Amino acid sequence: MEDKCDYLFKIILIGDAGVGKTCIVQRFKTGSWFESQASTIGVDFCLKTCEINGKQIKLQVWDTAGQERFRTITQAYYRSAHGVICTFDLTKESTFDSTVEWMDDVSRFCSTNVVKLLVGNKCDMIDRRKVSHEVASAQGKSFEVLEYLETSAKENTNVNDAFIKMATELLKQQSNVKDLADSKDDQGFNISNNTKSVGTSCCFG
Amino acid sequence: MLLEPSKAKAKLKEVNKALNKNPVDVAALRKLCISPGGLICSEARQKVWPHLLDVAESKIGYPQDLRRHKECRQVILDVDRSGKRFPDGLSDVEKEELQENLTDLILGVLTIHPELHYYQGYHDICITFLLVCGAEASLAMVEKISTHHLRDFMDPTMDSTTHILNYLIPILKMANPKLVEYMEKSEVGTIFALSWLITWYSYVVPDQRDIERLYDFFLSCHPLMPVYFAAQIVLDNADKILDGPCEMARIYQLLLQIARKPNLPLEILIQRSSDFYIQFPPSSLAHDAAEFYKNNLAISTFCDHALVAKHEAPDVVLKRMGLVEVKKEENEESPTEGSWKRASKTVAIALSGAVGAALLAVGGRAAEWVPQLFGYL
Repeated sequence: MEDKCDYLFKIILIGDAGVGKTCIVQRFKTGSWFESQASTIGVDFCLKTCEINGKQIKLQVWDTAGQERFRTITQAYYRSAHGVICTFDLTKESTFDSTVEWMDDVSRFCSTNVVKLLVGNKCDMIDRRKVSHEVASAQGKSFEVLEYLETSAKENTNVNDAFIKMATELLKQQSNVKDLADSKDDQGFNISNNTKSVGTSCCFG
Repeated sequence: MLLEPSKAKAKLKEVNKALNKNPVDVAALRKLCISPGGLICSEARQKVWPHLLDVAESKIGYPQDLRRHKECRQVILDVDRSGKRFPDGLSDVEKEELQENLTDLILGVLTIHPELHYYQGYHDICITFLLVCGAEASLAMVEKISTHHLRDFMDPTMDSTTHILNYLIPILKMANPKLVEYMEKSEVGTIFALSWLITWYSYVVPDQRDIERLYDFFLSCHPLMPVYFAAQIVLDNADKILDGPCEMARIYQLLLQIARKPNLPLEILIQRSSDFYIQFPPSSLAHDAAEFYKNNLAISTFCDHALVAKHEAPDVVLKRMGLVEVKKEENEESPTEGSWKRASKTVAIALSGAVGAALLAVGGRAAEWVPQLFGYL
């Protein structure tokens, strides 16, 4: 964790239990997929560094438990998140319906300029699909998400894309608000200036 | 850590001796559970655990219509994903049977006790019992810990759980105030230990034998012992926490990874947790835990410290039964030599556990001090 990076972004994954949040994170982090990925208890965490436009980006990914009762606990992690990936299961309509509540939490607890993605997972299960691309995409628009994406953690479809799109947007946002870099504003990005030029190292806030 | 074969054999002999007493010597069993190696093997656990929970004679059976329970969907979702906990080499049929049993066990307890709410992680605890004791015997045991040790985790909300978690801070503070200061500055909070607490470490400890060893310990002690144990994990890694940037994510990740390592020094941590429990019993920490809760979660409803002070039941009970005095005398009389002191301490923890069992036998009210406290929230 000591290695240098130019930017650090915190991303939180939310959505109902069993939609595949942890599988998405694991696919992104390790490149592998587990048939019986255990349920997440509380809040798990992983780090992954990627390069975008020649910049080293460190992504801090917070993977949350989906069961309703954990929400009050996970909400504490919303505040400092730069990005939110709201996930549902394309084969379970109820998980799609729940995205309304999840996004409601986002607007209540996240900063106003948080970047949002809506992700429909398990797109490999074509025969069991219950939510159409059109409907989900329209829902995404109403949530004002950056994009609606369909992923399959199992078949490694669009998983990297989701994180890269998120990071690219955050990077873009960051370069638009350079002035925030040194500010202590909660909503700024945590770029420390303990080396000569701002943005050559990062810290976790 | 495994005991040497000769010591293990001697210990199992002790276990049998306690089991064969009439009535069964539960206090001796508790001591054996706490001391190094615990109950050694699953066979001993099958016999002893029911006595620790005072359900050895229980005839409780599975209710009907389990799959109609409102939590059924969530339970099946978690059960289906619990394969990692199952022993290697099971056939698909055996796995399926185990999963069926697990679902029945969870829904069985929830059906018998409509006031209990399922939480993700509860299934991890149930798996441990199922693997050690089988479907038939597990129901009474899981029913008992659910209404006592785990009762607060099964509230409609997680408020009580969060509060219990916050006992971690005063325990840490007693041992290493500098560490607490550092952790507070990093804003790491206590949620990293949530899965440890509510699954009794079965979510993180990778080896089933280690999990069972820990259950020997927790089943013999006060319901807050898993928090004392969490504190020891943190304290054991204080250097690593302090030796690095004061950043929430770094510390959070460090602690998550430490608990998942296969070589957690269980016996040392158990010993230290026991020592701490004696030195700083829950009643001495309640005020600080409440303060942390108030300051960090801004829940101002928990403001009456007079109510917190009521949270002294284990000691009150001990005093009432004259056991605290006994403990003091023992300490005064005993030579300062470490092993002797330690032995008397172990007796004291086992006694407080035994008090719980005694109360269970009388009125089924052992760990009620916890719900009592959180009833005020």
